[in-house]
Amino acid sequence: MIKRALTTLLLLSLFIVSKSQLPALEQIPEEIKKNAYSVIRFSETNFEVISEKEAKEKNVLIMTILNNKGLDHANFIENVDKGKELKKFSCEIFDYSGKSIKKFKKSDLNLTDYSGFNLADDLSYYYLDKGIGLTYPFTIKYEWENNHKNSLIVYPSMLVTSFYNSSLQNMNYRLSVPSSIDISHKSINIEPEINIKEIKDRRIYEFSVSSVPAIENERFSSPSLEKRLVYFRPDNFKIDNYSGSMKTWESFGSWNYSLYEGRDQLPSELKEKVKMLTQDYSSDKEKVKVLYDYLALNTRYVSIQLGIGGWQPMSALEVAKTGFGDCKALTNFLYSLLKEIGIKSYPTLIHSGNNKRIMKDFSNFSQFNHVILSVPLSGDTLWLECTNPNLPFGYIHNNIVGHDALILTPEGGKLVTLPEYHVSHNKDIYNANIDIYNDGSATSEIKRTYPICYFDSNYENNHLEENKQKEIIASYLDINNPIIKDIKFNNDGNPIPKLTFESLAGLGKYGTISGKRIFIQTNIFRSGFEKLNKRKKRVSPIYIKMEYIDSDTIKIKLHDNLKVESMPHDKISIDSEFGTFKSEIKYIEEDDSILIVQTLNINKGDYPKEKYPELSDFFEKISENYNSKIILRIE
Amino acid sequence: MKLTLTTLISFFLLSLSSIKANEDFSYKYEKITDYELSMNSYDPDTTASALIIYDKSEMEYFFDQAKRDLTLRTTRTRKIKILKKEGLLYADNFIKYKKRDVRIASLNACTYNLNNGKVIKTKLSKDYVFDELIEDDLYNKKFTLKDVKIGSVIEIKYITHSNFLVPNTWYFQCSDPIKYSCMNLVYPDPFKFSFELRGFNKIKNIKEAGKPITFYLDGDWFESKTTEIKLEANDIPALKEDIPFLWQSSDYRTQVITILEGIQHPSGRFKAFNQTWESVDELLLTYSTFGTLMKMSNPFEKEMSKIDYSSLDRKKQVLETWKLLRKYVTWDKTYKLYSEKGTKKIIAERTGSNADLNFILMSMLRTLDIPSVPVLMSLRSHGILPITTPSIDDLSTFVICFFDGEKLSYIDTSTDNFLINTLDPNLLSRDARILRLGKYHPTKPMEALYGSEIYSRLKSLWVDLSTLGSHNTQAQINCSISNNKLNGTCTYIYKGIDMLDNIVKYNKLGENIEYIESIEKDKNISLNNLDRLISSESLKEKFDFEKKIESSTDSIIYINPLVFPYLTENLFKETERKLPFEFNHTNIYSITSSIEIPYGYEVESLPQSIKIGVAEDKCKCSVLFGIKGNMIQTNFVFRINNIFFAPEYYEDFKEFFSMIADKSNSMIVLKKKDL
Repeated sequence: MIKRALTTLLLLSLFIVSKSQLPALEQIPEEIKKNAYSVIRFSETNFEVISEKEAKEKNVLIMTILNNKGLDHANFIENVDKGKELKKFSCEIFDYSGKSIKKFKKSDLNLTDYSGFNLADDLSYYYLDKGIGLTYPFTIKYEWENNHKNSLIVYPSMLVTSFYNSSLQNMNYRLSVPSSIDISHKSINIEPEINIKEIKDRRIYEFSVSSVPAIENERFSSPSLEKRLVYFRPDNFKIDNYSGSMKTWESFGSWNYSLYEGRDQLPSELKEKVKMLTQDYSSDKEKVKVLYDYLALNTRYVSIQLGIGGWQPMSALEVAKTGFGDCKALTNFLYSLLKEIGIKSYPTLIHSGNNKRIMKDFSNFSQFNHVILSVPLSGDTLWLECTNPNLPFGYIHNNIVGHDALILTPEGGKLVTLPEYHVSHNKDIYNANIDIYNDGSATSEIKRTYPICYFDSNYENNHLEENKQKEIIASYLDINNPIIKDIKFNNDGNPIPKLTFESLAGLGKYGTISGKRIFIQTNIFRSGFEKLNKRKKRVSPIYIKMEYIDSDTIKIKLHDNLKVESMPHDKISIDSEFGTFKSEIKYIEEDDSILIVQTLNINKGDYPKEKYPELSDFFEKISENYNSKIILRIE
Repeated sequence: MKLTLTTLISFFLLSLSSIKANEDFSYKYEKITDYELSMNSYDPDTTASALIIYDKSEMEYFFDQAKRDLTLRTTRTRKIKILKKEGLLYADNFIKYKKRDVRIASLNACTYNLNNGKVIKTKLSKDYVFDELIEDDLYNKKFTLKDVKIGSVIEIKYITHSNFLVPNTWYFQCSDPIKYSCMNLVYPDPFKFSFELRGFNKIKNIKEAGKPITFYLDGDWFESKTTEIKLEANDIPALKEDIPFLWQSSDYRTQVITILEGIQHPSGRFKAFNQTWESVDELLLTYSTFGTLMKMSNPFEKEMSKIDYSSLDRKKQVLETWKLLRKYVTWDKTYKLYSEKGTKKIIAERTGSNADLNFILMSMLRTLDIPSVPVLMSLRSHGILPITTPSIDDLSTFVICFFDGEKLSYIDTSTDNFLINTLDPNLLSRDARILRLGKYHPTKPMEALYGSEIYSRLKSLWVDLSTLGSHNTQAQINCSISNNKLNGTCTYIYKGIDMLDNIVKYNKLGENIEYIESIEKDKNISLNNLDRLISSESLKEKFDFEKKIESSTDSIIYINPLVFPYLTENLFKETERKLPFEFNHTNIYSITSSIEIPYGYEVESLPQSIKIGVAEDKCKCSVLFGIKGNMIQTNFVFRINNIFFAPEYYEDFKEFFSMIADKSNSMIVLKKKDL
């Protein structure tokens, strides 16, 4: 996939960069420019580890921005904290001819503590906020140095590309460590040239990569492709007074568990309350539910990421006192409540978001961003989201369902994968009874059962103001200004929750009248079904993340002596390896109505890029069927 | 509505006793009622996530002996009842302030909960108060309250000492309902304030005498009486943010804007601050970042000397000047009023704000003897300019006015493609002010400074730019039917903002192929032979297309005669509208389509033609269907010549666009002839 580098020596001889000498634009090969908004011309990092807690870092980055879409790639943002200091910085910008036109120094950088979503954290950021505004292409060169002290749990990664549509010509990474420090590395989506040598009491690792083409952000491609990098880590580390080993997930989990130890004390009145709340319940599951509800009523999520790299939770005592905490703190709090009544549970690290899988053979700090609580019960394990206990008890939300996780136990970390819902729960079902009249208007009764993948964004719809609810339902219908009334959202609150709505809708513009005819759309719920781009040659393999079913049953009762003039084909079945689509449209004479039954099954999976035209055709045919017309005659 | 001190006396003079809190609620700090703690919903607004029981800003001036400076002390107190989960956000707070000018003198907050009939009070802990640097001197004091849950009442009080002597705008309204809101200001009598009230809720006001004050300011010792003014409102409904079809919803929140018109010194000297727009003009002209730049020398004199402008008319001269400027400097996507970088730096960095570039362009136009002047405004995204209370702080940018040989024209450098009288919609202000230069150059008559042409056409210094320019899209579609497909050619001509929008879209997509795909998806067609031609006034786009017809049987063909309708979905979706609504710009959109009737077919039915209008025909549309020979001809014209509309029109617009959408989905039926 990725071409290997020439020797490091050759690279260095090609790219000795001085202030007045830049790699000329003509040196960018066509295959590197293909699909690229920016090209990293040359990048070099020297990371010199002095001790377990100290290091010096020097960086050079030269990047050519080819067009306006690559402008964001040129941003400089460097985070610092009490253990990392930006020592030097310079930036120089060159126009298309290589002429130097702008220079910036460290005093031109802005500094902010802005922590956004967090109430507080230890990080500050340097960033360059100067207009670059040039004609394209232009080249930007950054040089900067950092000093690391206090702790070294993360070594800088060799970040080959962190954006789509960014390619690379040459990159070198040199890591120098005392021989006494063991390090490990892991390459993601690239194969760098590696050279390891011992010089006196130091071990030198030299990594190089060249000629890495750009990747397009294509529909149905795996998000894991965007980043191509090499991770580095010290096998052993120390933060404040906590020493740990990252050699295995087990040892990493063991260290992480130690950060929770002694933080499970509860105030005596709360201990009494816990006992009182649970005493009437016999099963552990019921007791857990009672305490989960207690968490919902008495705590809220506040993100405070201070100390020990933001890895140690606030104590349960503090959460009891303040009524808030971040994911770790709230998890630890529920853990402590359960412990009080003798129920075992474990804080569990997980990635909340797109990254489902973790590298099982390479443990580090970068792969998890969230903590939940696992509660093993006989025959079942609960995976509890403590930052939002308003979710149904036992429900595993979309950001973590099916994700790899690391359970923290006194014996060390244990890798697991959370269960996934069966496709039968990922079924989006519409049932509609529509009565159409000869002025094109209609009345309808609509019921929708949401697929579980839509649960997180809709489960509180019943709390919204009525007008908002009407707007939500109207947005589901491809009808102008429907009059929605009698809305009933229902959430059954089960661990695998079923969320539905029922409503009546006046569809004033359901049919378009033209002379003696009324034209209606076959499926007003699916008219926006996606059509895929076809013109560009597919670059990455196809990745369909989720299996789902769309199932619609629509009955249109004809009034005022309306007659069917034309309908789409009565039976259609489209099979492909990506899924199946079935459509049946028939006139039912007994009650003078049209019955439309359409079902789409999409399979999850990985497919070669060569299959993309088939996928695109499959989607196009489905879209055509959803958007086909039924034509009625006004007699 | 402008409220001066004198008029205040005669308006709504009410005694304090008439503003007593409803018994259920207390508006006194640290006094919590049983009802506040036990209530679990707010009947006037059951959707509210929280109720602001009171929100007060009490301000007074004091002489800071240590700093020997007059300081404004503000005591802000609020009490909030948390009703729903979303209301928990009120537990997290921040105060943005500039450290050099503002000191947070004290901060206190408490949470109150009812526990078995007993009130539990939990104070804010210092451990959860953080000071965060945003940028430069701007800080955020962030804090979160403890023990906050649904049902809690929280109360926050903080005091700031500020070098800024003019109070900020006070909003009586926010996105949750407020029981009681009050701004109280005690000020020395020599300070002459005016107050502009905005919004739809009734404001009561009270004026009383305050305690005397002694202070030193601007070379004089003052020993003066003070006046206390209290503006208050009760039962203010929530006003949500992010309202569709509105550039700045905060304009419509009930609020009071305080303006310091001047200070009467004991010596008899009256120091005026922006009393009139004329004085705002003059103040601007004294600034080195504005007025001085009106006289700056042309940095591109040499480059311009190489161009022969003599054969060009004035519009083309302006266009060529802009082109030359943009060769050296690009717009950095920011709108500014002042140019602070300096010309050398702007040119060295090759980038600048619209103000930076506008000043340079004006200097270049002077070289060509084309007089031009700045036109000041508040960006639409910043809100409406308060005309009755002039203040330099409410201005956010300026565009350039020049005489094009026939009329006054307007330009701005904040664009990638230069068109005269085509400004970004953000600049289409209703209240823009042509800068008055006269007094700044007393030796020159005003006429000479503006240029006689501009001067003679200046009826007023205020201009309405909201309907400036002509923004059109014309589509011409010619096609025929074969093999259940429409095949033909489509030509679009874009002008004005429609042209700029198209260019921005094309540039954003970056590549021809992506642009083509976007058209194909949008119009549901296969496209060939795309040809784009950009001239100084228009963009012509032509392409061949193939489109599947909507439906057919063995003997009947159904087609949409508009082929590419203007819209198929009504964007007006709100069930009720309480606020005005605005469009981005005026527009004319027309489609002319000709479809050849295939051999052996005849038209069985045509949709009905319509002509509809709304808001006294400020917005209208006609759709005409006809047959000429063997061609089906359709003509669609949508025209909107105003961009601001009162809420009463909302339902009419909703119906109007619904009819357009309906008509855009119309079908023609072609039937096989009996041969």
